Formats: sequence, C-alpha cells, structure tokens
Amino acid sequence: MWRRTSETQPPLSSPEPPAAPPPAAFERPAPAPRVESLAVKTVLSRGVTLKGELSGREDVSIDGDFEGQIRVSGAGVTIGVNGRVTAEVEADEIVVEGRFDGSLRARQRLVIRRSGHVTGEIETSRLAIEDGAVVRGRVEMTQPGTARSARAAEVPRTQKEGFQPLKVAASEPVR
Amino acid sequence: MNLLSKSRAGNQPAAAVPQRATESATVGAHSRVSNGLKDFLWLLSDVERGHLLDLGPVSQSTVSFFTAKNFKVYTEDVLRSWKSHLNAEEERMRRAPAGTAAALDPASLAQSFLAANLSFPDETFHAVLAWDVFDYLEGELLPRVVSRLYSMLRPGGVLLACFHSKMPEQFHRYCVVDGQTLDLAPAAASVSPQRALQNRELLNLFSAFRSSKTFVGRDQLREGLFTK
Repeated sequence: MWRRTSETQPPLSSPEPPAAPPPAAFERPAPAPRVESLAVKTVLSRGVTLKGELSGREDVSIDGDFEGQIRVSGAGVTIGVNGRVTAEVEADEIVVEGRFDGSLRARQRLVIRRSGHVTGEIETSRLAIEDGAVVRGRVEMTQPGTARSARAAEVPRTQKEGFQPLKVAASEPVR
Repeated sequence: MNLLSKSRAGNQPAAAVPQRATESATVGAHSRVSNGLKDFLWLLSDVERGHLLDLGPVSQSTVSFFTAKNFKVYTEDVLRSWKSHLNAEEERMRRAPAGTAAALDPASLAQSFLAANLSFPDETFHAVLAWDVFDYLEGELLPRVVSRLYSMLRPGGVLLACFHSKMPEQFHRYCVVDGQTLDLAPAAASVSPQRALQNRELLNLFSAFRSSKTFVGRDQLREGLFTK
C-alpha cells in the first residue's frame, strides 16, 4: 500500500519545471466535441407542413408535408412513408418512401422504395427502384456528382413541359 | 402493311443487334425470348441520346437497360393513370348533389383523360414501350391513345406492344432483362382486361403507321412492332 501511494505521488522535487504553455500564436483551437447522437439530421415530422427553402450539409428527413426547395451538400434527403413533398430536391443521396412531385437530382444515388410515388423529373448517377414503386416522369442518368446548374440548361423546353405536375420546376406557365 | 407477317425480316444484320445474348441463360421462369424487342432495339441502334416512353409499371431493369444506352426514359403507367381518372370521376359523381352532375359518356371520359395524361409535345419520342396496355384500354379510349402515341412519336420512331390471343388471366409487369429477353413479373392489374384484339382490328388501329410487324411466341403472345 505504501509503495502504491509513493508511485502515484509526484516527486517532491521535479528535475524539470513544468512545461510552459506555448505562445498564443501557436495555439490551435480545440476541435469541437463530436456528439454523434445530436444534430445529425433535420427532421420534418408527420403532421407538420412547411413551405420554403432548405439548404445545408446535414441529412434531411421529411415525414410531413413540404413544398419548396431542398438542397443539401454531402448529405442525403429521405422522404418518409408519410411524407408528401412538392419540391426541387438536390442531394447526394435521396430515398423516397412517400409521395414526391417535382424534380429529384441525386448526385450519387436515388432509391425509390416500394411505397414511393414519384412524379416529375429524375436525374441521378445510380438508381434503385423497388418493385411496386410508382414513377411517372423522366429518368436521366448522369455522371456522379453532376451539378444541377450545369445540367439545367441542357433540358429542352419540350421536356420540361412533358409532365403537367411539375409546377415547382417549370419556369414557363404550367400548361 | 405486313402486320400479319409472322417471320422476322431477313434483311437485318445479326451483328447490329445490341443484345447481350449470353445473359438470357440466367433469367427466371417467367422470362421469354422477345423477337419484337430484338427488332425494336435494332431499329433504335443508330439513335443517340434518344427519348423512350414506357407505358407500363416502372421497372428497374428496363430503366437501367435503356439509360445505359444513353436513352432518357420517361415512365407513365397509363393503366394506373386511367384507373385514377375513373376513380376521380366516380368521386365527382358521388360528391355532386343528387341530379346535378351528369355522368360522362365513354367518349368524353376518354377525352378528359387525354387532356390530363400523355400530354407530351408532338414528335417527342424515338420509341414507345406499350407492352400489353392496349388489351386493357376501353373501346373509346383505345384508338385515342394510339393516335396520341402516333403524334408523340418522331418520324421513324417505333412502338412495341404485346397482344394476347385470349383474355389475359394475370397482369404482368414487363421488364427488359437483356437485348432479347423479357421478364414477366406478375403484378396487380389496375383495370380489367377488355378484349383480345384480332389481327384485323390491329391493322385498323395502327393503320397510320408506316410499317408494322408481328411476332408470335410459343406462349401465343403477339408482339407488334409499329414504325411511324
């Protein structure tokens, strides 16, 4: 027991003074603590209605009603089983389990589950459609990471007019 | 018109057909070799970045197959849309006060359906996959849909359709497996089959098309290929 105590106690006279803190100019800011369980996803819950624009770098999950525009970088968007979305959506990965009307642009991957109903335009580099899913619209495969703005001008006017429900994406009067 | 021809044209170079024939050995029990699809693809082999309309329930493999060939694929499940239209009409009648709403006659119903569906500009598509939807469309709607599809096709565009020789017992979702193989997956039908169209009726229905061919498989399913 005595021996253990002596091992844990610092020596009375340290041969070297404690190291002084480095000058302020060389200090690095401490990294922000990573809290995995918090603030990793924006959730629009069932029963909530929102109109507007969402943008950011975190995952977005929508199980309510949304109308407008969603644009996220380095993250994904999930439209849940109860979600009803009328929007332009651009994200790295998009999963549709509910109802969507508008334009979907997935830079990496788009998944339409069997409960998913999609009306409108789809642009993605990888596409998965489960049996039972409903898709009414245009599907175009792109190179991974293709930006929306670079592609928008390529879409002929006639294609934009092709589907009546594209109210959000259409810049011309809806026919 | 060579609609009743049951043999493939012999003037097609086999090498030009863009199939992956070796893959057909791996397909499942509901698969069938499709000579109509083979010719369909041959006619489209020179098209670059074409536009294709699929009128059946969406299929992952079909979309992947054609997008891999640089097609822009449009999907519109026309039978599902028709069913929705009928339901909406029923609902309109149900909600209307007694005696105030008159039921639309079949011709008006077909017109109102086409006013809201298949609304693409003329000459948009290089190709249309109609599968067996024509067997399920009602009498007034059928010729109107064919006429609409004709106007939506570009000159030289092709339409592939299937026709049952008798009333189909099961609705199928057609999936393109490879250049000559279709997978027929059983699926719930949106509407009931109407009738098995006879060859003479097909001749009349597609009389506006420049040329047409039919292929009859061992399962007696007729595949029709119509070129504008």
